[in-house]
Amino acid sequence: MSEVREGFVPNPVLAGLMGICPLIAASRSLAEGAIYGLGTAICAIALGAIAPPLRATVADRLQAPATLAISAAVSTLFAFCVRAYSPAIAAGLWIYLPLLSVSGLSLYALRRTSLPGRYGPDASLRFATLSLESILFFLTAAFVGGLREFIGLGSLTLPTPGPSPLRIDAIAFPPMRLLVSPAGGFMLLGLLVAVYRALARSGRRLWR
Amino acid sequence: MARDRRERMIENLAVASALGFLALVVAAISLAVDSREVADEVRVLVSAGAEGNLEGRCDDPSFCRMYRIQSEAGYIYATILTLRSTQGAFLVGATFSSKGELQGLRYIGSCASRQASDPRELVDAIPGASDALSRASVFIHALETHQAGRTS
Repeated sequence: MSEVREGFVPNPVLAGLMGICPLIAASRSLAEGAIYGLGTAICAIALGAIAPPLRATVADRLQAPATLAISAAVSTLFAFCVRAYSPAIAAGLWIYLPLLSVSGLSLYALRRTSLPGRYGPDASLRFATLSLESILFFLTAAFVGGLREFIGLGSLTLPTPGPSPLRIDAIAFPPMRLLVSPAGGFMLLGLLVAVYRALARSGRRLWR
Repeated sequence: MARDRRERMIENLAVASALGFLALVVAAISLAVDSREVADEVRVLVSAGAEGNLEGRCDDPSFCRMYRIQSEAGYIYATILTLRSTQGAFLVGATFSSKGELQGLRYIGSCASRQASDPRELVDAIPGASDALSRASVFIHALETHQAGRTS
């Protein structure tokens, strides 16, 4: 992710391959992808905001347990919100909601805020970059979930409130059910990574 | 040395109490969410003219609350089962007689699936769904036994 220094924020999923295993396992639909991506982004931004003041006030030896406890609290509160918003989406995301506390992006947020030498001395710029990366993660998760559902099942499930989210059946039959399974998800992600890298390389050439 | 130790202890206590307070906040919010979920589930499970009360809680992966539904005809038990497959998660309402026999299944909702929304077909198709119904039945037996022990 050295491109950050050149003013370009790479996509944390497609360029950094960050947190891809839970992302593929959890985001089988647009609704699940959007909610999972939103949770990951909220946890990472919250940790990025909390970690610097925590570092200034709490002794070094207590920082790790304190940060993990706060991360767990944020992800638990987000899980409560999802359960209250839509029980079906919460049931679909299952164990991946509490696991948001140790998602790849959350741990990266901690590392980013704790290593000013590596990621630049300006704390507000570091936080702004982290926020942008979190938004990119959210958008990518929603896109991957939506694409898997649309190509895999021919439908799109919207993250609407209530016991059953609204589903739009665009195609009468599931065109490629394999994409909804984790194996199909990884295949699709591999293709998206290839497309993203090709676009980023050609974009960089044009920039120069 | 002793002063160092005392300072460390004060630091530890300060962080522990702050995290304890955070845990209390999370627990309080969880109670509020739980009571809202109970109200929502009762509304989904109970039909007009009947009254539902939370009868027991369980740590089963497929269901966590069992309700007792009282109507003029008598009482039955009901719960919301969460059935998970590789295709997605399904919420199915199940009603049982006081003896734990399955009386009916009702499709409540799902996320990301083109699988049939007929609850009987779902129970047949999803591995482990029949086991979940059996466990719910056993739980009802335990509730009834407990109830009988309390009244006698």
